[in-house]
Amino acid sequence: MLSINNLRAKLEEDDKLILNGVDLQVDAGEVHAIMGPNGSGKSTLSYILAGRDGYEILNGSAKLDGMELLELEPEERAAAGLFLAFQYPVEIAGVGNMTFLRTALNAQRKARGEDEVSAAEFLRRARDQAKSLGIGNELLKRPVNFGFSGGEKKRNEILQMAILQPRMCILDETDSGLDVDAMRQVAAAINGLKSANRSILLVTHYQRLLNHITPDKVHIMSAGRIVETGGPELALHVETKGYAEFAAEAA
Amino acid sequence: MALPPHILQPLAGHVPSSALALDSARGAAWSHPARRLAERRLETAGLPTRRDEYWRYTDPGGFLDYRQEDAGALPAPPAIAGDALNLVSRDSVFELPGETMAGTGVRIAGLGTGHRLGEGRVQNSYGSLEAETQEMIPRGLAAANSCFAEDGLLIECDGRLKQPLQLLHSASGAARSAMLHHVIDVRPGAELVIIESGSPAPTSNTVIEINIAEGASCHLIRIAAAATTSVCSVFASVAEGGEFHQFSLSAGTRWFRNESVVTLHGDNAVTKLAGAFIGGQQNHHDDTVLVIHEGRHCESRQVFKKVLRNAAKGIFQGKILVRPDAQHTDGYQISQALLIDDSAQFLAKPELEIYADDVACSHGSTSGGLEKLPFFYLRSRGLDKASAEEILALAFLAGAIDEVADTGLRHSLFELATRWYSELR
Ligand SMILES: Nc1ncnc2c1ncn2[C@@H]1O[C@H](COP(=O)(O)OP(=O)(O)O)[C@@H](O)[C@H]1O
Ligand SMILES: [Mg+2]
Repeated sequence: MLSINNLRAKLEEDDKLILNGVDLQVDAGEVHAIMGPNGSGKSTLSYILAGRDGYEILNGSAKLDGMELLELEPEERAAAGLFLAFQYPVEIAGVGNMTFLRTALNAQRKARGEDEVSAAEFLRRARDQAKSLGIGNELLKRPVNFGFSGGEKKRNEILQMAILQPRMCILDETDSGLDVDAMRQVAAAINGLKSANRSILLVTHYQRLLNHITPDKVHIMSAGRIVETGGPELALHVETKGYAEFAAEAA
Repeated sequence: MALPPHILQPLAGHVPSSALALDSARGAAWSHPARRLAERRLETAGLPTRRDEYWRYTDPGGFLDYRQEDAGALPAPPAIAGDALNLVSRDSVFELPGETMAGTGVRIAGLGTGHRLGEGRVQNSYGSLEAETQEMIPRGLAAANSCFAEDGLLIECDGRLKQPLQLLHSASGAARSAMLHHVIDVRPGAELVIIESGSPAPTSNTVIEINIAEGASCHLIRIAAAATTSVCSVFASVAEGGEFHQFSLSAGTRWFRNESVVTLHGDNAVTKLAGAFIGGQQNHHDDTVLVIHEGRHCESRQVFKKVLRNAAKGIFQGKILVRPDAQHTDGYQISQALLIDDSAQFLAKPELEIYADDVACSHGSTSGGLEKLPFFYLRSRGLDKASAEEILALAFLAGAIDEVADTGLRHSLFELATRWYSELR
């Protein structure tokens, strides 16, 4: 599904290397977790995969089912099935949450040559999903993420993911800012999305979320590289021991 | 007494030569005394030049010296209110429904006719609000309009009109320029919503004088989208407890000077002025506002937003003047531009002039490009560049459109802005 090879990148306006040779392979139907200390490059990797500008790719590749993502516009990546749940979801004043999501869904469908979803059908789906995520109707009517609490923003990201039905889901620190109940609802929604032709990459600092969603593989990222890969036990290991033993030499 | 050549010559393209030459050829006989006074004001003020401080960012030559090539017909004016009393003008001549529109509480007469409206109060105030602030800021173009205007409406509103009055201008291109002058009198406690859609001619000079009596309210909405060249001066006077709201939506207008002068004479009066503009192709769009607080406990609010691209230039000059007696004034002003590309430009001159000590006034102005992170966020969800830009630009303009109080009109205006945005990009 997702195949990243020796990806090296830096900020455009800065010479500091942030990704220093990332290698990662996520197969169809698998759930992977990337863990690592703050500043190790997890969000940068997520953004680069989603197509945010401001970075310079020095070398390497990132392919989704054999298609080079790094050459595509962000919207083309989305239409190809890539989704990033942002660590800090963006507030957009004046744009209704539902209008935005329906426009996005239909834009993706159009790009794939599929029929648009009607307003009524969309609303039905959105309400159902929102309900299971504990998102009230009032929140659906508000501008995108506007005036949402931290937890509400994270739920809203998962709502978008559930509606857009991407094949490759990347979730950046979705667990932060969630209380126990919210964590359970969000985890249930993510588990509900697991399928043989969808892969999930959980980016997280803590092991918490992994109590609810069992990953097939856990990777440790440090100083811009994957330095260790293991099973779920690796997450428990860093939960007690910390990341110190994995500290890679700085680039 | 004839006007000197330096005033007459630039007006030649804007006023029929007979009216320029002969003061008896200027409109109905009842208006001649008022027009003679306006002629004096015009002589004193002169026509604006680019050296005038008040025209610092907008060259009046863009209006006075502009000669439209073969104009052609202007697009049909959009009707934003489905349920409205429609008044149609063709090439700046109104088709009138007869003076009394039974049961509506509204009386209308054409400026061009000799017909007196009611007790003649509306006729008697012709030109007087335009005159009121001439000494403070000379407005030669408005004085010229009072002197030479060919047609317009005299409206007296005595009741609470449920439907908006919707003026729809269609222009065949036969007339190159037009001068319209409306005088609107909203009597105590009365309410009027008036929409003016489209332009009477490719080049136009419009004056609207609005007297709002005690406890009365008037909402004026003006919409225009065509490559027109126009100056519009609105003069409103608001008595105790009265309200004046103005909103303008324009897109793709070639050159537009949009002036509003509102005097809050009485206590507890309110004015809310807002505008949204979508500009490209070297459009020049200037909102110039003066709000004068005279009464106590009055509120004024100005919200102006422009989305600019392709060398379009946006101007905002807004002043809140608070007279010594106007205690407990609440004044607010914001002007913002969203610059889609580097060739677009926005110049703002916000001013506060406060002579009372117990007032709360604030103003702000911003301009800048699309915010990167929201733009990326939308694209990461599958919206292409054009759709993401459009969504953000319209959301930006919605901040001004939201000032319109009526929900139905607000929705129509937003839909219109959406249509115009995609047509103009
Ligand atoms: N826009 C930016 N400007 C400056 N430094 C940045 C920027 N983005 C990332 N960095 C730096 O790159 C490193 C990796 O950051 P990030 O990817 O956010 O790490 P993580 O998500 O693992 O905490 C950090 O040292 C961070 O300070
Ligand atoms: Mg991060």
